[in-house]
Amino acid sequence: MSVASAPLREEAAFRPATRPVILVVAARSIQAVLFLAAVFFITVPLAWLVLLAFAGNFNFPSLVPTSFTVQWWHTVLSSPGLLHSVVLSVTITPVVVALSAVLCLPAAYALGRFNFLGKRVVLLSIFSINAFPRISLYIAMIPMLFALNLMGTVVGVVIVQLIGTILFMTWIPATGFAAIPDALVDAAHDAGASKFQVFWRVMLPLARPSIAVAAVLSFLAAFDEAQGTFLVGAPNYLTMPVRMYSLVLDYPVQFAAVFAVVLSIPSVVLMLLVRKHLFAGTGSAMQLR
Amino acid sequence: MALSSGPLSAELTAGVAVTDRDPSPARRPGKRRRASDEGTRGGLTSLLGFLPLAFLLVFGGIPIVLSLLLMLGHLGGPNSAVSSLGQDEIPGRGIGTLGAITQLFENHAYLQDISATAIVFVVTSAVVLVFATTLTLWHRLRPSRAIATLQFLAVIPLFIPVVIASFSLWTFWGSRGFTNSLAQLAGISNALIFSGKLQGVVLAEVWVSLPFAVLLMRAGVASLTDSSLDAARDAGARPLTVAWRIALPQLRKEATIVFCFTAVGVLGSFTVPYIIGPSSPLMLGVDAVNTFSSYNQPQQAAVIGFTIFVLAALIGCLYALGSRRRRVGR
Repeated sequence: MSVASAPLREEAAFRPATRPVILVVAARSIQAVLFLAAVFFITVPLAWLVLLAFAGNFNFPSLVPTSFTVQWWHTVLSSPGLLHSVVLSVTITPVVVALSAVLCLPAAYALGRFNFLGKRVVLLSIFSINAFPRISLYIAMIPMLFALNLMGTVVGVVIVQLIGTILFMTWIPATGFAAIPDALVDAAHDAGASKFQVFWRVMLPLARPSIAVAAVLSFLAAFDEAQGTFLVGAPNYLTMPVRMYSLVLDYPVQFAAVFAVVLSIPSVVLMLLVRKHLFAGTGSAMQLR
Repeated sequence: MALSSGPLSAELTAGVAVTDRDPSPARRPGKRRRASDEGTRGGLTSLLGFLPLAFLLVFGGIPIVLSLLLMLGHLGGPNSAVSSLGQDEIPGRGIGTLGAITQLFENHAYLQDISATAIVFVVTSAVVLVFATTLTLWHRLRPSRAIATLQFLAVIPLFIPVVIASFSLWTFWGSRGFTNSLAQLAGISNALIFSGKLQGVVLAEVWVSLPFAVLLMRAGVASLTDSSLDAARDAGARPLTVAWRIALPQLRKEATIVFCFTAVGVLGSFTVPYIIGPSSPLMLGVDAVNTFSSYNQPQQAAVIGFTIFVLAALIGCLYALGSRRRRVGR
């Protein structure tokens, strides 16, 4: 995330010269209140969640627990049902990402490097289908999954999770492949490299950051997918996020808080890993017109 | 990561670089045809480009057709498996029947669900738009460390799975949560409970929708030219005037995208309203899942699914109108 460069010129140009002091103070106060309210709104719920995960006695309306404990962590980490969900999630998600890569990366290469009939249609269709309200797409899938006997099966869950990854795994690497300068490719050919060598030694390394971002976003989309997995997989395949639905209703709040913190770890770690690429890509690649 | 914002993120990250790329040799007259371009059409390799679309058509397109048929009462064929398990089905002949649709739309509770959903997605999208625009424009016009920090914080929800965010906000705004504890300590009992209410759904949807809105508006604001802002500034305009008269008209397209994508995301959401929302009126996403899972009525669930589609299509029209409008000030 870029920090403000704070050009002095702008500051000086915008500094009001003749406003009464009371107005300046009032404006500053309103700004400060809005700023604090926004910070409170965004961050305090997360701090509260972490606090709950370590809370022993927590008597309403106390703002902090009167005692802290790691007992809930022991309980969660030794619960066989929850561990099963963890195993399911960490097994299914890589499968989904791998299948998505097999399906989409060749397409991303073709879409990024070639101009063929129907290319725009493909890109816009993938985008449009993904822009459908997700829950109604899942509801619409049910009759077909029943007909194919895929409801309550791991294949059904994989298909549902795969749908959410297609857009990332196609569009982002396609942009990566498209951004490779033609001059580099031509130079490699002129130096006598074969088509495969050019792909393997020139294009793939240059497209790797975009593929990594796509893989991470796809991983998280699949790992965190709850609503479709809940509809298609329950009650046989309760992945970690699906398990949260029942934890919220049936377990002590500290128990669910611990599980929530555990479930957030992969997201936070992976997003931090690709943060630079993700935000840099957002800033430079996005030209909407 | 916010499920509802999937499409938006791709638009953000990918932009139009792919669609606008034109590697045609004609662009570089006089240069010999590249060995790598295979006529720039890719030959058979280009067929690979259709794979993801084929997958989506099989597992997204065909189901939508089947679901449409189910809604119209065609209970046989591929729909026989699901309809053999369902209750309260209304079979149709010929083109079909609108029985399931009229049954739902004559139900007062369903109409309330639709209006609740509409209110939530309109309010959420408006709040997100105002928040993201104010934040990013402020950062451009009056940069400061505080605003930069806030802009950074606004992206944090991107890192948190929606189901975790929903749970966290549910406890935070709940009857024994932080805000109600604050209210109690301040002597205002039960003033700040939002869980189990539509207001809570709006707050949570705003929370999960903020990051992509901020990222998108930030990119839009970054594309504003210094010259247009400088000209106004040199003429003595205050920051607010520059924002309102110069910057905002140029951000109309980004604003439309933020509003529409937030709206469609909220419309198709299930997790947030399921965990935080009231038991009545229901958001349509929750209504659809309950109708299928709890009431065992797949045909009626299909009707609710299509209601969501129709509302999304209306938002799509707004998007088409807004994004086609000529940009002012360029």
